[in-house]
Amino acid sequence: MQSAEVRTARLRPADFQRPVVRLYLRVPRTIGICRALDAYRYLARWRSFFAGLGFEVVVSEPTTRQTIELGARLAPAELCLPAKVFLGHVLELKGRVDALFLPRLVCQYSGKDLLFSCPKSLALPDMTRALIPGLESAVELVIDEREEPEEQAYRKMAKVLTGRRQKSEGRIENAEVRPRSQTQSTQRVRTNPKSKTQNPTSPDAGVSPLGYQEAGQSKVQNPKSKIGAVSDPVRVGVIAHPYLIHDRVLCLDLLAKIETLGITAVLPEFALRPNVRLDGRFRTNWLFEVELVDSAEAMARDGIDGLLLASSFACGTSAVTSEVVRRELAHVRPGLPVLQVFFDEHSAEAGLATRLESFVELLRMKR
Amino acid sequence: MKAAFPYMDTIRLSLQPILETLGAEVIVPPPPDRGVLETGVRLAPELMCIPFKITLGNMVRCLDLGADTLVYVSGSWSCRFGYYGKLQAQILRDLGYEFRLLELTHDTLPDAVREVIGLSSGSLPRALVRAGRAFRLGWFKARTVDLAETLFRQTLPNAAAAAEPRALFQSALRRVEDVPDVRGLSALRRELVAEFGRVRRNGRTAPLRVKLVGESYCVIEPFVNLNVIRHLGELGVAVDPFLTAYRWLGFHGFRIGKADVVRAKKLARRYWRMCVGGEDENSLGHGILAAEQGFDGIVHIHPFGCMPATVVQPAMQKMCSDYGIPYLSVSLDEHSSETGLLTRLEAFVSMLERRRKKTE
Repeated sequence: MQSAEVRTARLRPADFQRPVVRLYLRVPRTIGICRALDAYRYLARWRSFFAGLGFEVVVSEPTTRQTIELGARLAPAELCLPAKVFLGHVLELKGRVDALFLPRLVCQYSGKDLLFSCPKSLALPDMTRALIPGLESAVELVIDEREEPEEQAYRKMAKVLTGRRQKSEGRIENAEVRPRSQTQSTQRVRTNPKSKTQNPTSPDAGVSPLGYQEAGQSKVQNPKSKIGAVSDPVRVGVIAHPYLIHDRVLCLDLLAKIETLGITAVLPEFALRPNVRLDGRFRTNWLFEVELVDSAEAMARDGIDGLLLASSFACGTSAVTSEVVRRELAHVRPGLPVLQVFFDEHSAEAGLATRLESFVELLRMKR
Repeated sequence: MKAAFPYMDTIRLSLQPILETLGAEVIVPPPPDRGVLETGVRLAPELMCIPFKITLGNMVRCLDLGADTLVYVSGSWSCRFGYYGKLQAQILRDLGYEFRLLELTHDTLPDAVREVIGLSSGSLPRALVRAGRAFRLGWFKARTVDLAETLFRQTLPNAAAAAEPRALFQSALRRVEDVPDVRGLSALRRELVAEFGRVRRNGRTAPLRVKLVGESYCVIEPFVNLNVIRHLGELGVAVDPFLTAYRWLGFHGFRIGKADVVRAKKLARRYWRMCVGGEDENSLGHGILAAEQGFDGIVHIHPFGCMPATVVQPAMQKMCSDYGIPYLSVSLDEHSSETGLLTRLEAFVSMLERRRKKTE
């Protein structure tokens, strides 16, 4: 029988010695951002941040069927669709840029609450590295407000990227407004006088306050402005993560389908007024989910006709929040029609269209 | 107070005497079966993981048996596990059950202490004496159960007839439950060692060794993991789970075995820089430890849809290919069948056997 000593001898491959924080021998010139997941919220900020540091920013092309296929082939089967698509975007960007940007948003303060991202998003850089070789030059942003404020995290990343001699202070841009409410850290960044004086304009600032339209391609207008103007004011609230609903290929163009049926879709980002938090009885500690649960409640109180819960298959957080939303609404608006739709790489347009049509028919009949 | 807690295999054998000595009345449901699972599946959201469904079904049974307080360990962190208590409580309340929810987190520890003092009719000295007695008894029970489990796992691959250690193990658990005091448990421990030593052998000297890693509930609860430890044992494999009921209780209660966990986490950092739950870091680290200790394979067992376990899978695969150790990932949900798992295990074990012959 073989002894344990013989076996351990051939262990420990050399690449384990890779340092955690990479020091760049050749300073990267181009940085790639994947148009997936958190980018739908923060793309404008990230882009202006890297541009402010003097990098050329390459954002991956909008998702196509091929992106989905690339990602799905690589990823473990149980992963949710948006994360698979993220991997697809990484593959498309790889080789085209000097450094790839891998965000890891761990937790942020919202008022006094510490809100976490979902586990998949927390582990995204590690998973991406394990699946795709040759990502040594990737730059990682870790926002963990238990340890340091958001601004500090950006600064740290800037230092790793540019080297210490170049001054990166004050380059953190304020191009982005968080849709739900201004968290402490955002306010801190925004009121930083340095950042305004040293880098006053960014190409994206003000263009898209939510960063959504830019990352996705869906043309979203504030539906509240339309109310009254439309002859058939059936309104359906769409509760979905921004990275799902604003990616036209991912969600099979759900918003456009709703529009062609002649009804108005109300999105979470327009349902909530800034700085208003409803006290739902069930609080979650997930950054994205708090917003969804609150906005569902706000929509229900606002008198929408039906609710559409759209999520990706195997999305762990929405398994909880969909249930919470349904149970909360049973108290707020008993009898409100709710349709739940799951998306994965096998979702078909025809099936979705049929379900939507019958749902809309139901809403019209209920009137 | 009639307290109930989520069922998790042999953990009940230590938790029940602890709570009873503290002065609470404990409702222990019968072990989970198809009926419990079906209740859970019917009530739970479709895409929740199987531990949620089983514990929910079990809580329904506890409430039917008359429990009025549900005790949950929870925490608000990124993993869904932190919401088990709250979500299950809401589902049960919507069904019309009335009960008190006792959530044990780091923040509510003072409340738990107050609760314990209240059980001793408000007297702190009496509560302290009771607590000392309770934890001593619980500790001995957990140690005895752990010994029985270890002996069972070691004896099974070498036993001439698998039925013999199996029957012995079942009777050992029953005896642990019946013995009321520490002295009896010490005697029982000696008896167990002798009894397992008398099991007839099949002549196998060095069985294959497999490390079992994965999500804690799946690793510990045989109803969920479809008796993976027993099946592997009967195929001639000595299984070493990275987590047992004793280690789970010891670590979460008193940080016993912390050095081990710290070591695993340090090793895992090569692949995994942030723990997200579901024992991801631990699984990776213990996998690396197993590879270094010359184990023959790693079985990674996790519930379908478990977020941390899903994302850690690629890292596990990369680690296993770096270290050259075979890896089997088993994803479980309410539709998993024991036969299907057995087929996969047989194929895995026969591959391990061939591998060992080749390297010899």
